[in-house]
Amino acid sequence: MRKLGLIYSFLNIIKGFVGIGGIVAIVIITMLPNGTFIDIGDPYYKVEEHGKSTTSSEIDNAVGEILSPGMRNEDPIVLQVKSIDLSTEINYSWKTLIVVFIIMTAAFFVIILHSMQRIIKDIKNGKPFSIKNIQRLRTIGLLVMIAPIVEWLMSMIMILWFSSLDTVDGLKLEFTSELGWMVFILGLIIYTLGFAFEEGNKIVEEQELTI
Amino acid sequence: MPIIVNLDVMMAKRKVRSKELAEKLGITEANLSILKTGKAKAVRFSTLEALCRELNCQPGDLLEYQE
Repeated sequence: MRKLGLIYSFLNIIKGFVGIGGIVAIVIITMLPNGTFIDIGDPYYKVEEHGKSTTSSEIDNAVGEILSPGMRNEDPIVLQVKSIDLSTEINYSWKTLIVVFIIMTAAFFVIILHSMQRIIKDIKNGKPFSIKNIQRLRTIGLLVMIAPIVEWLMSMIMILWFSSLDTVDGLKLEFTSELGWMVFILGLIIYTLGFAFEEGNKIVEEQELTI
Repeated sequence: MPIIVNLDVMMAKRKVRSKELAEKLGITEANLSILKTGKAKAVRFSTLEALCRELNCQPGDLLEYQE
């Protein structure tokens, strides 16, 4: 029951953050003056060559000098990238990393699916609140909670690995990785269901031992 | 458990067998055994009534409280 209390408190904290964040966002939006424009995405391009970088405005000026005198610098310049291919040489470390990732992902899904199947089987047999089902639900909940954390760690490893690779001159790779909070909360819900099943088990046991 | 079920004592007094009593009560021998061995968590009034009727006794003859 103490663990259940901790989970309840944790959910209250998350609700607090969501509530405060929502209020702040609404206040900011409503205070924006009408008629102005807000940037929602800043097209930015940067060319690096041997440690020297050239930013958007410099490129604009350079291109403006090349173009015909009749064309003004303020005229929009559209740069099109036809295709970008990123490839890496297959080697032992790359293979090891990918294999480990595949095994972990497969094991994760197999454990969860198998546990779900056993739970369903027990429900069909009229014994949903068995001790084993309680343990299975907790296992599934923990795995689902851990999954986004592991995924984030794996992404960080891949990012570090990619960043260490040689790239084409002038090409800079940027990566982002976010933690799957929704999946984590889903795992927490499943874990909490284990406590509900525990109570169900007590009720069934009492009922079975009532003559 | 503080509540002691003296069912086996009363059954011996009345010379009633488990199988016979279970049939008259409409319960399984397994459930009757749970009751006799003190593993039961609760007894329905309907069951207690049937026991008293079949064994010709009072509830107090079957149930005893010990601290």
